[in-house]
Amino acid sequence: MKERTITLAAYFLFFAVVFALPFALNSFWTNRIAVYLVYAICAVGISLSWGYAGILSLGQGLFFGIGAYMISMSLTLAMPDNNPVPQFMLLNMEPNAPRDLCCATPGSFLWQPFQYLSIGVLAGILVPCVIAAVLGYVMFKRRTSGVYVSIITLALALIGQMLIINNQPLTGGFNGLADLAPLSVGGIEFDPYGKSVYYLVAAALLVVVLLSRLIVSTRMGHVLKAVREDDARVRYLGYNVENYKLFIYCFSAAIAGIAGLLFAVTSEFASPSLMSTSFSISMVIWAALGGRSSLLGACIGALIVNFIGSVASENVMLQPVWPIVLGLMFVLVVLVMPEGIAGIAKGWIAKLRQPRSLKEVVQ
Amino acid sequence: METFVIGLSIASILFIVALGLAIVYGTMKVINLAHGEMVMIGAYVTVLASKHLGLGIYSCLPLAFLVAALFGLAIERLVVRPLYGRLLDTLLATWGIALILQQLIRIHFGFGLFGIHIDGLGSDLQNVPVPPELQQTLHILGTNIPVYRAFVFGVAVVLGLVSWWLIYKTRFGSQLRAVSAARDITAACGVNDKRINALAFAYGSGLAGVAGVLVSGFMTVSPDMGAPYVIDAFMVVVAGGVGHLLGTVLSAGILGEVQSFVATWSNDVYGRTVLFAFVILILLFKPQGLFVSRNR
Amino acid sequence: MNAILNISESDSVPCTETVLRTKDLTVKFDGFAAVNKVNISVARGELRVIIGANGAGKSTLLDLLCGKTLPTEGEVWLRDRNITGIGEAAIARSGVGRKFQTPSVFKEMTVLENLQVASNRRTGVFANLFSWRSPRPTDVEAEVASRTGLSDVLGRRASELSHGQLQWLELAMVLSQDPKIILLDEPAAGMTAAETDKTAQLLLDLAGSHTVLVIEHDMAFVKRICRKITVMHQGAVLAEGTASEIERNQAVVEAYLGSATLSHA
Repeated sequence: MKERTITLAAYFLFFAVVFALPFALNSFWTNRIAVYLVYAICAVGISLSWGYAGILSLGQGLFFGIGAYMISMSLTLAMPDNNPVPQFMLLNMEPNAPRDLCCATPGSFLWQPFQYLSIGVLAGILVPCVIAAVLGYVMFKRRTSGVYVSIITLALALIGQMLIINNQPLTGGFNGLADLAPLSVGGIEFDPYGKSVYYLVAAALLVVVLLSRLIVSTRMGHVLKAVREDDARVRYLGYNVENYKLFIYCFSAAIAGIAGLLFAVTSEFASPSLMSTSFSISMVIWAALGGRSSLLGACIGALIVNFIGSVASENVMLQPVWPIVLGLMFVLVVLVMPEGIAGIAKGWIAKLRQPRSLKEVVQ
Repeated sequence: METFVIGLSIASILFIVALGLAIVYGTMKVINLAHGEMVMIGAYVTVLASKHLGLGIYSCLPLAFLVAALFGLAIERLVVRPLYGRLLDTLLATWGIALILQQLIRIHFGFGLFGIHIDGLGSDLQNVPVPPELQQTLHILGTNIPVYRAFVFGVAVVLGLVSWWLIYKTRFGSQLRAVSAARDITAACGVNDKRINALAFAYGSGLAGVAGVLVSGFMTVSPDMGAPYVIDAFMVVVAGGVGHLLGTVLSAGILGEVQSFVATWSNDVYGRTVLFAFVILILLFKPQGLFVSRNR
Repeated sequence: MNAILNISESDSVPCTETVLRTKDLTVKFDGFAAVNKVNISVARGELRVIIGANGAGKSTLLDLLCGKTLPTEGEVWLRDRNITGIGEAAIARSGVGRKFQTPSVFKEMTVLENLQVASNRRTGVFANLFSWRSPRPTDVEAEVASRTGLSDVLGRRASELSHGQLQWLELAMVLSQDPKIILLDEPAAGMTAAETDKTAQLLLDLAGSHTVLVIEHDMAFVKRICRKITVMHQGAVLAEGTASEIERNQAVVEAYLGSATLSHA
């Protein structure tokens, strides 16, 4: 069996399971797995950026959070008692301020466009992309070293988090936005605990994975593979490496934004904790465990880590041990299995195929 | 003026922590995300030593140095050394160590799982008794200077001088500098660069431990107190320029004062935001640091 | 690929157009001039060798030519285009192909994949986003592979090749860029005697159809391939001429009196 066929089969199997699952789950678990699938989307973005382009962004939480906030703003305004001005804003207003989005609190006019859901969705994808474009342009043009890129992205996420917490009248502050209406598009209401939301997320994951796979299988993916190994050498072959990195970085930011959008839809809130250091870094472990250079691996890694994490946090015995397990995961994956579960699986498959492949070479 | 004094003590702590990070980063190009936890460990050593051994802050200074240095040694040997050259992976692995250390404190090093609670550990906030002579306030030139803050400053100065002597005046120091500048050649000359790495890491961690003792004197001690120090210390290192002791001093001073003044005038959060933005700009446009001259 | 011109063993190549020209090229590090007002000119089809002691500035000169280092003063012209300071990728696209001293190939990819990255003339992001590689080598790639003796190992991962093969692979990659000038940094470094022979022959084959600038240490190797030699010393050009002229040049002899870089025939 050719390697290509095996890969195809793996993807098919994975998505078959994903799409079949809701029929075996109650509504609570349907929602749970939907959230994990959201995380999987995020992990695909990280795998693309880190595994393929060598950019370790420790601040994907920024883009994820922005995506969540953008749509949450629209969903907040979709709630009847948040019109014309959201409840939390009323609590933070000056006594004599007009009850109008344009001027209720400083900057509240920024909320006005979000009365349209489409703006919320578009902003959730484009704003992260634009931020990534600006930051990425400067970073890659100036050939900022990989470690510094990680620190810069981390610091940026922290800045985002601080700005949000600190602007309570505008953003809901520390508590975030939690008074959201369920997503409603064209008359269809998406119940977070129903199959509709689950399939929305699953479909998004499928699209993201397909697009990413497509990118990776073109000549661009080939160039990226070279860049990952020796980006200086690639320059001497005539490629503007920074443009490639910029493209992938923006794309992965957009993916994180999409994941954030869906997070708000499934979990019905957006909060500054989504931009925290630990959340951003834990996204990396999902991709690392599953296999940083494998898109499917990253999905599976996200599912596994989060599944075990939720199970552990609900068990009195396991709960105090979980952060240690997580920490150990970081250490061990990096030390012992740098290519993650996907790497191990590929190794097994290669061993199984060995007698055959020698024949192929001889022919 | 009080703001200036407060800024000075913030700067002193920052300086000690940053110095430790700078030594490690300068020698091995490794960013140790568990460095902040060394501060936390130093603080907890103080808590435990005062509760169980009756030791005061003065004795805890060398004790915390030792304990933190030992932790550093272990981390270097087990995690950092096998990952040598893989900087991004080291970043992740040390973050994992940080998570583990934090949680270990929370669960009383595992004993908590069995219901055994060690006084001084756990998720609760802890406090450390400060000797009475340090609790005073001096009145000099019309300003109130808390003695403790002066003490912190004093310790920082001493540590700075000791480190300077160590790095520039001893054989170990010259080996350290040689390894930072040209590892392969130095190793080829017979210097055991692996040992230098380990010692540098231990020394850097030890310094952070000492900072932890000082911090415990005026802040509550909790398992997650360490995390902010890594980011702040890294900013100081980057701004000051790696491998430049004076640069670290100056940038710690500047950043400490800026933080203090901004906190007084507007808002602590905005202070940090501005600081972070400033450091991002430095990393982008002057990654060698503000105080380093152009070299090839 | 252009047809290989048959050239005689004579030392002089008919002077045609100048492919590469430097004008007072200088680079200073903290006041020290590693390359000092160097003016060289390489004609089309020429096989030029640069020799000099360690620290004479040879590698630095190549760094300047391929864009790795930015000159402090002076200019580099490729045909009629000023390529000073336009960046490595742009310089590579203009037609400068550099082969490094230690083989810099992509070990995780197969030999064919390495060639495909190199031979791709469309280097833009979107051009590559919408195009696919074929599993078969193009004519260019096939020819280059056969020229460097790699046709049989196209499917092998680069990490499995011998040191000599890696050097040829990198040379093949440079060739497939269809460069106007090839910069070679000690191409025979680390090779066995047999491999060195093969490399010398390869370079001789290339001369005429390609313009080649070689840095070398090994005088025996130089004598086998050389046409015109440039001697560098302390960052500047000391002398130029054929091998016999160089050996007779007083200044060169004095500079290397007692030095081991000129092997005596």
